[in-house]
Amino acid sequence: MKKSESLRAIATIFCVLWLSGCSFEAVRPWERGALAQKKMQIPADKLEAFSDEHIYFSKEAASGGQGIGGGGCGCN
Amino acid sequence: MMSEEERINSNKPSAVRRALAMATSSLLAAPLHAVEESEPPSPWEFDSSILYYDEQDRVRVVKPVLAARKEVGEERFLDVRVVFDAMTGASPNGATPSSEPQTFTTPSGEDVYTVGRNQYPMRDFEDERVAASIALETPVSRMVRMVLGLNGSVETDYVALGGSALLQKDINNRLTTLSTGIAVSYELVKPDGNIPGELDTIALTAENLAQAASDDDDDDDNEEGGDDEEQKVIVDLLFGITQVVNKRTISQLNYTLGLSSGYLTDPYKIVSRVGATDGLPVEYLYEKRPGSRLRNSLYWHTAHQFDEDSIHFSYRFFWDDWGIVAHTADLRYRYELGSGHYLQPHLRYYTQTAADFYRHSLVSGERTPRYVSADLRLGEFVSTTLGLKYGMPLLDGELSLRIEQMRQQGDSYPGDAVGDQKNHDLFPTLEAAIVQLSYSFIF
Repeated sequence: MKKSESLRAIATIFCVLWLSGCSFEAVRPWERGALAQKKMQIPADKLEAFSDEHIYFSKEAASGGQGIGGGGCGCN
Repeated sequence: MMSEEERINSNKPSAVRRALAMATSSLLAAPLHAVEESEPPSPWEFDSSILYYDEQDRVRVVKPVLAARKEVGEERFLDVRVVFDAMTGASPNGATPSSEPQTFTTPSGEDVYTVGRNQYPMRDFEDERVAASIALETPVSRMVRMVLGLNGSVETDYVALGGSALLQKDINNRLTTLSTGIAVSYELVKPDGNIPGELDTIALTAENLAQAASDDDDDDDNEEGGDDEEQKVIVDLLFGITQVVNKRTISQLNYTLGLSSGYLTDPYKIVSRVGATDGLPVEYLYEKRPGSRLRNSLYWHTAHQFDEDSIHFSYRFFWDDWGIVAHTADLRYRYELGSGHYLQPHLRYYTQTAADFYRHSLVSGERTPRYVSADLRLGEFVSTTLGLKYGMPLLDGELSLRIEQMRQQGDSYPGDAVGDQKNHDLFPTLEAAIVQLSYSFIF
């Protein structure tokens, strides 16, 4: 019950956030200079994201979300 | 029909035209020819780092990583990554602390270790891990890309082998990218000695300990325990959408569904059973987790660039059929100092509920549950990370150093603690320092 309520609330937040961005601009290819920079990639620093994912995977029950693949570990 | 030469000759002044034509053709031809001959092979882009992770009085990890990317064909990229982990230290074994010294055995029953009075029970360990992955990103059509990957890792007591496939399609004038992918991993658990029987009681008395040690190799096929190794299979599916919001903002939303099945128990973790009133240890059981786990996560990431600075924010909502619900918020703000130097503060907040079968301990007289684990990582806690990164250009590359502090806090004195347990911290705060030095360069 608690979980389903929580899930509903989260789904609503996601929908609102996503729909609020519906005023997406028709950005032309030559206007994407800022977005093409390395620091604007998702993630901006792949190695840092990879390292963090491994640390938190071994210390927390939740994992994933950013992508798939990468491999497991015994993680004492 | 006039030949080309006659046509040129028929026009005046022919000498000038011819000279111009020759000059033009040689000007056009020379660079093209030069480009064809001397087009350099695409360079390797390297990302390297060494990470140092240190929990106070617990685990220490040194982790060098080298990743390389190269364009191996038209819009075709090869990614290779090699990782080495050297892990040492001690990890909580799941037992609760006590005012009396406690003696435990390793999963094989061969080795015995003792934890002093009032000490949090930990098991020493040392391991090394080597992991490698390779991925090929290749165009399928003008708007569709595919990324195929293979990965593997080996530890003394763990082996993982996996493969993944990801399809990405650009739509809406490349303002929107749809992603879908699958990853499959086969993992083998082979603890030192044998796999302990789930929910088996650990031998405690001197005779039992001696018995456990002598029985170790002859007892392979009795009860649940005794196997050398166990396995699990993990399948993850991803559905994602990435959207250019405006000239300075990009946003991504992913849903991932994961199914783990097989041996999901941690063979090193045990659960204390304590006296119902005095709270002193009576026996220890090996933990047991369900044989399957269905995981879900919704992940939202947005990056925005201001005039100079940029910000990344992500939020993940995670839930599974073990009863765990987790929220993760992550914020990184890159403050440009000029000439490529930058400072990047990082804030991460994480909270999770406990798994349905998590118990810090069992009490005497209580029926052993079907599944039980006292692994703190399945308990309820909050984790915060605060960090700072400094980056600067160096020799056509970028050098960066980040220093972070992670702090994990749970319920140290739960209301259902009994007797002696009330005198002890049942969820000691975990503090860890993370230091990572990275250098990215093109070769």
